[in-house]
Amino acid sequence: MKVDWMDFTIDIVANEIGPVSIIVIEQALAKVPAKQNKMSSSRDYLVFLKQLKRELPEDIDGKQLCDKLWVEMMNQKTIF
Amino acid sequence: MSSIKSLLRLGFIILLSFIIIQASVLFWMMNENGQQIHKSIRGDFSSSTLISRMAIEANKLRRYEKEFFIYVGDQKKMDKYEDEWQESYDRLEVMLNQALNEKIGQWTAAELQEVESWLVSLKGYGHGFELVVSSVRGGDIKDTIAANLAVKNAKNRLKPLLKGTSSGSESRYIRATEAARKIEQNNKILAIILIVTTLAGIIIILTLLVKIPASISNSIKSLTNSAEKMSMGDLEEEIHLNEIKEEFLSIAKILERMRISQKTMLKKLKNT
Repeated sequence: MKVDWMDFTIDIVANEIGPVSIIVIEQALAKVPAKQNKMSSSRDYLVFLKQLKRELPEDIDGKQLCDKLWVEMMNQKTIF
Repeated sequence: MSSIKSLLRLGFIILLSFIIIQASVLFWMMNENGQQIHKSIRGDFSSSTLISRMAIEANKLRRYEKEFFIYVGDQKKMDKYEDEWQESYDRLEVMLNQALNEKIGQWTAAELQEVESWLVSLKGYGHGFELVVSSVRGGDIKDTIAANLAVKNAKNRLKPLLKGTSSGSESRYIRATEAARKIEQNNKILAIILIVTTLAGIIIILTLLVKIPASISNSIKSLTNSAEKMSMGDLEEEIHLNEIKEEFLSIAKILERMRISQKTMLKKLKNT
């Protein structure tokens, strides 16, 4: 089953930080370079994750969450 | 971090163990006491009574024998004491046969062998006495001294019975007393075990009564405090999940997520 990257990313991030996850993700996306903003490959997703890590609140382990998202992306048949 | 469920489970397992220990000890002690009672009352006590009666009857025999010889020449008294001697002899013989055949009370093989020797002793004495009686009645023996001399061998034959019955009764009495002492000791041990396990059970119940409501109320209190702070805008303090019982962990995680979300949202709002 193919999964949209945005769907599982919001699910996983929302599980940690709640409804603010949408804002955090959108802000992270807005801050990635223009090319990657399209999110067409796993490389783009990695760049996005690096930005997301900066945007995540300090109360959670951002690195661990990003690693989880990366593993999830690798395991899924992700649609970009 | 322990759960209320595991605490309750542990408490009830310990309580159940105490109940099982109590029941096992009670059963074992009752069984042990039952055996002791059977041994002492139905065994040693019955056989001790029978032996005591044998000893009394054996002494009666000797008394009637003496009375018979005192009244040598007095036909009426001689008849009376000979009848009484005979009755006593028959009673003693019946008792010995009861011990040997009906096994009243508790007898070991060695003891039964001893009873057999008592029966032989009684028969030997009876035979000797009857011979002297017939000599007295036939006129061969005319006075008490001569009669006493004549019956001397027969009297010696009765000695194993006289000695055996007096010592046998005593040894059984000692055994019965020992069994009674053991029953008393078992009852004391039983009482101590029951008191200790009951007290321990009460302590466990009291501990559970105090700990379980406290663990529930502490978790609720901690969560209420966190929610109260969050509602008042204090979003800095993290909810300490290690202080919360397992049953309240998911609600604590939800609250923590809400705190982080609110805090992040406020931060983002401030930045815009």
